[in-house]
Amino acid sequence: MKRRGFLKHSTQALGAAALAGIPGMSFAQQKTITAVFAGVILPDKVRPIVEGGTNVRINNLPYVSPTDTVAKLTAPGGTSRYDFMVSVTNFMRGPLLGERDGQELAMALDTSKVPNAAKLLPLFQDQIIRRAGKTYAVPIFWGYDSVIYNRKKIPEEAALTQSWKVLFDDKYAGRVALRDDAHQSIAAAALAMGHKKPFEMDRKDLGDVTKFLIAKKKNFRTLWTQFGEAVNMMSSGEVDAMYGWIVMRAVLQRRGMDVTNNWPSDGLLFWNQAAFIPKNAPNANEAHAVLNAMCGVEYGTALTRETEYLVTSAGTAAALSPADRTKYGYDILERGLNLVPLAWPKDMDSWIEAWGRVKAA
Amino acid sequence: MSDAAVKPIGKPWLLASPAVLWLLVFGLAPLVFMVAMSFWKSTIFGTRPDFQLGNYARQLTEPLYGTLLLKSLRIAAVSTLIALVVSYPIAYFLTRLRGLWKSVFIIGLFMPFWTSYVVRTFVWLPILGRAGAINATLLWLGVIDQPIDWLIYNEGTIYLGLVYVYTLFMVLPIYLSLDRIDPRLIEAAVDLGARPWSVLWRILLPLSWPGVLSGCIMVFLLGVGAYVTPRLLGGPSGIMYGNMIADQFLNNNNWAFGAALGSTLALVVVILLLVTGRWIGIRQVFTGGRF
Amino acid sequence: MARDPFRAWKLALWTYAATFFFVLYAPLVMIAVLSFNGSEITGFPITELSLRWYRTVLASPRLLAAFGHSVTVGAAAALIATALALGLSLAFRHDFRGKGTLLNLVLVPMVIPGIIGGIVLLIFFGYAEVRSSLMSTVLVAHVNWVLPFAFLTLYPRVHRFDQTLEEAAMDLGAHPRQIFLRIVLPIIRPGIIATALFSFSLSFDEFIRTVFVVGEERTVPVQFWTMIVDRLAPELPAMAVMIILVSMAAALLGFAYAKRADHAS
Repeated sequence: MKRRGFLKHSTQALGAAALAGIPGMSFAQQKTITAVFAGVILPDKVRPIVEGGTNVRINNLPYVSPTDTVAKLTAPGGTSRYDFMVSVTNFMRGPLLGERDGQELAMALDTSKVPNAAKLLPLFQDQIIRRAGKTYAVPIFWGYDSVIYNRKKIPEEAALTQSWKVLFDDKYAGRVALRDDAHQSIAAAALAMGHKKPFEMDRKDLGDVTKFLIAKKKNFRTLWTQFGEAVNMMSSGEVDAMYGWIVMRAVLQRRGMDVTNNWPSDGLLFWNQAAFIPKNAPNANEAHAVLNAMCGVEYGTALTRETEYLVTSAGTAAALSPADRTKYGYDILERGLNLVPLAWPKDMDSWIEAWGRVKAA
Repeated sequence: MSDAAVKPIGKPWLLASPAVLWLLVFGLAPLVFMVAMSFWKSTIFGTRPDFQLGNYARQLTEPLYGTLLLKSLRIAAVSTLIALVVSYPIAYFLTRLRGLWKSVFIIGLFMPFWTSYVVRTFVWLPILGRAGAINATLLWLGVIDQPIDWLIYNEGTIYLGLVYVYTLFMVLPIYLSLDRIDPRLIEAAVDLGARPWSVLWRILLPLSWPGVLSGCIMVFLLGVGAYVTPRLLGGPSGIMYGNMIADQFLNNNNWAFGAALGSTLALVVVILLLVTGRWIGIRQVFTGGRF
Repeated sequence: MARDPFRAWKLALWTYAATFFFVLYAPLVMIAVLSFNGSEITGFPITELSLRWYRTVLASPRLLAAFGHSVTVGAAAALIATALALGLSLAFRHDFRGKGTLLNLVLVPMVIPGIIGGIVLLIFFGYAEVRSSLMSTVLVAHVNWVLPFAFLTLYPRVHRFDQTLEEAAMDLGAHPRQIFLRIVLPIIRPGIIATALFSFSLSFDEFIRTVFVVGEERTVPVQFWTMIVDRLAPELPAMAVMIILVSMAAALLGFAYAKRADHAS
């Protein structure tokens, strides 16, 4: 295998050298970067904007989860295998920076190459991951999780509807679904029970939430695992309300369903994802260019229109009409909603175990 | 005429060495690595080779893991039995066919397995769901006036999903085994007045035992590690041991604990195979009763 | 007078087989039906009948390339695994020390859960500094996965091989290689073909190990997975139907070729 690799590399080198050496031919060879991020942030319609503007081809590897992305980084060889990665900011802060100075797994960004990173909405400027004056990760998009529900079956104006409790109330037993995810489902249940800071719960509180979930388990039709599955459940009427994502709402509305999301009074789960470049990325220059493009207004506007995810660039928010800002939710930062940042719990191991106990009960 | 008089062709270690080499490098090494990793410590900063027994201590103190292990073994065993009962007649059926029909049906058995399992497991949702095909048909026929809830999202659906996906693994080795049986044996038995049940129990089953064993081992091992099927079809209680393992890697970065769970599973399965091996004849079939 | 005492049994068997194949194929028919659903959301209700998803698949270089990759690595894995399994099966006919241990070694890849198998290879190749690619990392993962199954499928067939033929040939002075090529191989050939086909199917369907070691060239299951993780994949049923059609065509070609070969010999 080593020999084959050597042959491949030497052939490539010869080829490139030959092309570069031909006089009169200035050949801007398009480079490819290896990236790991949720495919949804670079849909086919939006891809040309980034690839065209930077002349870089982006090969995004099969995406598994934000947690897995961080795990890929910390695995042996992780810092040199990928050029560009995106994951939930609160999940990666610790691993990215490492325990001490000098143990960072990400490359300190050359801020001159990413001018757009300075033009973020004020809320997200604090979210930039920095250490000792150097920038390591820049938030590029954000969103919120809430309850997606069918307005024809569940009244919008009710206090119950505008709360996580709607997923746990016996009134809608058998017509609701949670996500099969320890982190998000336990957080939602904790908020429904009234815990203000779910990710800082101690063992006793976690135990209470577990008991609550076990008691309410019979109310759930199922726990969805995939995007398409969740959307399908709403559109076929299998359930009337579920823990859901912004993109799901967008898809269902486009399909003509009278579906919307609620704004839970007990706390809207609010997250953002940041991009970074692993420490030993082989194509750092190109990765910088891509990062810059994804902080830009053109990309941001296109992404919001296509998927309804929101971006951190201040220019995008400013470029939208007030009606659009409300429609997509850029104004939730001003609406005085109870925003609960999605964070890594103190003891994820216990959360996973707790969820296992809920399902096994 | 004794077995020992004629040696089969070829030198055993020469024949087996390519496979042995492959297995040592790519099979055993990863297993050893998994066991080694199970003693390491995983934090949010990554996995470090700091030797500790915590991952195993946790499995012993928290009853969840033992419960799930037993549940997985139970579901896998039941699925294997169901698959065996469902598949044996089909394997026999295939041996009764001749010529073109035989090939057609065998290919026909394979074809569903060339659609990805992603598709093959998800397809049950629009069939069994409240708004699915079965409910729609029954409603239209007037047999029911409310959709049936219990077609999906329970343990029964898990069995359906597993057996459906793994039938090929059971039919194929049994068919290959049965196909070699001399039909004159059966004719002779019938002439002597044997009832069908006797033919099955005393001729077919013993002679096709290697195939039955192979099929059962495959389906059982696959069932014990299942995690997509229970999660998708099993509803809020659809959890098996494999899900806990998957969670460690996909929702958490506790690789060391995941490796420990995997090592426990591997150990239990190996012990199971060793213990039942002698009883159901794995040793005799594969190793001739010696070594 | 019951001329054929087993007629009732035979009828029962045929009925059962019909039911079995009906249940086996019903979900596939469902997939085919859904593939014509013009709606973006896979599943009922069917909003309009349309071929748009077939057009999408044919216009998608990623999907078509994934199919090519799956076929390539599947064929390679089937070839290697069947060859290795054949060697093992022939060896197992003998008596030798360490047979039990060897059997356990063969079963090892099956005993390691899929995710762990994938991650361990990821780490293994990480340390060896081997870049992920179809014919290196993915092929290894697939052969690993397939080998125990190939052995378990082929061995029962080889095990039942009637040795009197071999005895006779040896008595007549035939060379072991001749015996193998002209007596053993032709008789177990259907078993080898079935094993190879089975190995190909396993490789074609393998997903969880592949996800961790895949590079630029994706296989069909990995491509499907990428598509459903965080968006709708309405073209999935259409792609599945096309895969079935292509396999049917390949199988028909295989038959035609085999018939021709039979007639020629």
